Amino acid sequence: MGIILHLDRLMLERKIQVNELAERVGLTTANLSILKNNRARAIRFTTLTALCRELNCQPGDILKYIPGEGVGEEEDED
Amino acid sequence: MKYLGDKSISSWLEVALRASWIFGIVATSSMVIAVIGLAIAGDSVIPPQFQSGLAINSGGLKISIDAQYINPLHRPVFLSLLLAGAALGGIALVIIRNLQLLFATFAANNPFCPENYKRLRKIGWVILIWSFVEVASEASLGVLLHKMSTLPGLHITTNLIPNLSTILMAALCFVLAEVFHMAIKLKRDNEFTI
Repeated sequence: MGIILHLDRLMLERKIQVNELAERVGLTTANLSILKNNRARAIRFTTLTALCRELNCQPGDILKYIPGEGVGEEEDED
Repeated sequence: MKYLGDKSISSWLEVALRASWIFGIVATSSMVIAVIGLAIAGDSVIPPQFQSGLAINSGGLKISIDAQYINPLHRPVFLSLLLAGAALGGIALVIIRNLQLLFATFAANNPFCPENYKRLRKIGWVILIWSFVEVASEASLGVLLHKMSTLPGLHITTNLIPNLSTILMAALCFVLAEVFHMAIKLKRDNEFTI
C-alpha cells in the first residue's frame, strides 16, 4: 500500500510557500520538505491537525491511498 | 560512569582496539614474512636458536618441554605452524577491526547505524570460523607435540569438538545483530515521523 501526500497541490492552490507553511505549523523546512516529497514514514496527528488548520482542508484532501506506490513500500529494504 | 560518547568506556575501548589492530597487523605480517622466508630457505632443519625447547600456551595453561626432550623441528612442520598462526592472526584481525569500528560508533553516540548490523553479523561468522580453525590447529598441535616429544609416557589427546563458549559467543553476536537491526528500523521510522 502507499499513502501519497498532496501538499504540493494544496500549497499551490492556497498560494503558500514552504517556509511560511513550515513556520505556521511549527515544523522545520527540512521536515516539511520530507512530507511534501513523500519521504516521511509516518505523520503525527498533531502535524496533520496543524496542516489541516493552516491549509483549511480535511485530512482526506492531504492524504491519498494509491495501491503499490509511495510511503511504506521500502519498509523492509534491508 | 559513562558508557557511550566522548571520553567514555566505549571511546577508551576503541583506542585499545585500534592499538591491538595495529599490533595485530605487525604480528601477522611478521608471521607471513617468516612463512615466505622459510619457504624459500634452503635448510630442512630449523636453526638451533629456534629450538630452545617447546612451549605451548592455552588460556592460562602453559606447557614447556626442554630442548633435550624434543626431536629436531623440520621446516615443513615449522612452516605449517607459522601458517596456522598467520591464519588465526588474520581471523583475529577481522574481529578486532570490526569491533573497533563498532566501538567508534558507540563513542560517536551513533550506535544504531546500518553498518553495525553488518559488522555484528560479520563478527559472528568470523567467530564461528575461528571455533573450527581452533579445533583444527589444536588437533595438529597435538599430533606435532606427539611426534616431536621424546618424553616417555606422554599421552596427548585432542577432541574434535569446537569450544562451546566460542559458539555461544557467535550466537550472541547474531542475536545482538538482529536486536541492532530492529533498533535501526525503529530509529529510521522515528526519524521520518513528522
